[in-house]
Amino acid sequence: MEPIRVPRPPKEAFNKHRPVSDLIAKQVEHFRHVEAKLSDAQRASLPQGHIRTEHEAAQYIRAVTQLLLSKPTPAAQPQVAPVVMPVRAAEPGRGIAIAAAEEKQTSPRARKKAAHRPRKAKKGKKG
Amino acid sequence: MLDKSQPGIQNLQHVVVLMMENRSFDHMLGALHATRPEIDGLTGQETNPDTTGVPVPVSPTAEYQSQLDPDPDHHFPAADLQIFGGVTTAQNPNRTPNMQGFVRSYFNQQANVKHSRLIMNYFTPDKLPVLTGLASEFAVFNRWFSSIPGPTLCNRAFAHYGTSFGQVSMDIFYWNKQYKSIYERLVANGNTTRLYYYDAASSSLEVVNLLQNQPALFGTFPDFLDACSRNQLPQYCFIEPNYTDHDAPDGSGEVLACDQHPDHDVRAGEQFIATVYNAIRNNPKLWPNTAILVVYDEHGGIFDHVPPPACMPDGFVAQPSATGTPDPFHFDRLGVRVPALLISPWVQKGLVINEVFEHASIPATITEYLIGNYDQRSPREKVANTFLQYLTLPATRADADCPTFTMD
Repeated sequence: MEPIRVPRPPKEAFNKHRPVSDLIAKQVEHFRHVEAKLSDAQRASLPQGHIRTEHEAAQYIRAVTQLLLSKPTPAAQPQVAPVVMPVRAAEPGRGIAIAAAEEKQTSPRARKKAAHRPRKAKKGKKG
Repeated sequence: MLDKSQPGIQNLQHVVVLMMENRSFDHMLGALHATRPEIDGLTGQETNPDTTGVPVPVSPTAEYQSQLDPDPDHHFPAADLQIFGGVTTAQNPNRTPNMQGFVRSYFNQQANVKHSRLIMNYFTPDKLPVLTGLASEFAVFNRWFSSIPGPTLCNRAFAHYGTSFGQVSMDIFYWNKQYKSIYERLVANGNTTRLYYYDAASSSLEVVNLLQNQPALFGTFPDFLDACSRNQLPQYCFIEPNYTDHDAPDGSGEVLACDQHPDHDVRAGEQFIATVYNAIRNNPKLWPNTAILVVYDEHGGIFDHVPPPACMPDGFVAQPSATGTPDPFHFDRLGVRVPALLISPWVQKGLVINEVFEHASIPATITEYLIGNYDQRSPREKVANTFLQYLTLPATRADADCPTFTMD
């Protein structure tokens, strides 16, 4: 059987400034709820401000997720390396990195190190 | 009861569930009916009235992006209108679902008659080579329904817990510890399991209960691919797509949402499904012992012609203040039908499954397969049909008989 070709989206399909959908707004609300339980120091490291776009939501969600993953893991639970995985860079003139995951993996040691590296505080958009 | 003597079950070591976002069965797979009448899709004669009373027929003109903007309403009141055509229980206590309210529901968002008709559009198979290709080559479910006539989070809860604990909305809720998630059950039983979200910037929709309290259950999509390549896939895993267009966390490029939630480009989701499939299909140590379920969480407000059936009440009641309608909801009717495919070399080519399934079938199937008797489950999960028995072939299909995908 010949391989089936899968069309890729055009570059203009990407719009990180798209207003958040109701789904993403709710996801952010759930993360806000979780954020309220973090320490003041942890909360101070998170992007501040009103979230209007997918990009802003992603920045905030990423920061809270990393904090959650850095919590100590109970011994009874399976171990998962807390890590932000690499995503394939968009090829020039092509646009997306949907299949990114086939990139070379970071070593477990590097992942662990990255996961425990303090992150710089980011400022979100005002308003 | 699963017959574990079947060769496909004896060889089975991994089950992978990929749950996409917000597309109805007819919208994605309905066109297959033209060449495969056993698939309960579209004849082309299905209509919905618009607000002027004109019947709007289904149309094979769905586009990858930009048609369904704004995002069609699929909260409980809108889904109720879509399913019952605007007939309320006050008007008719014995109302029956007629699937006649989709255009009117979409009109409510913009008061634009022409735009409201777009909700009847569906894709032709050539536009969705991955989803329709897999549907043709493996098993397609004619009757997989979302668990609730409502939005994403309560429907996804059924896939994780076998219930939404009385929720019909996207609101924050904490799980009733009486019913543990399938992941917690598996860990307690000594099985391996993971939820894979795409990346930290997309993260999980299971935030308040699982991600907050059990982060060790989670991994990223690259972790999934890595596990596939190293033959270390857990016994059960659940994959979430990328929910947002965003910059790659490492600054290396742009990452396109691949969840197929309107108005994200459907092609990105096709590529994502193909990537999951290829990771297993192209590994000879995984392919013969892995079953993949591709399923959508709910219909996203988009037309489907099959009325959702009544079902076992869930033991919870959502009051009118929660449903946004004059009536309480007893979790006694399923939501709108969604695409669902079962993929394995042990599945008969072109199989069409006609039994009724819903998302509680996911934890029901995994529990039956990996744990066995387990009583602390919701009433819905206890009666939900399970799907691994469709791995019926006496031997795996020839390698050349199973498709592969290449990305443009």
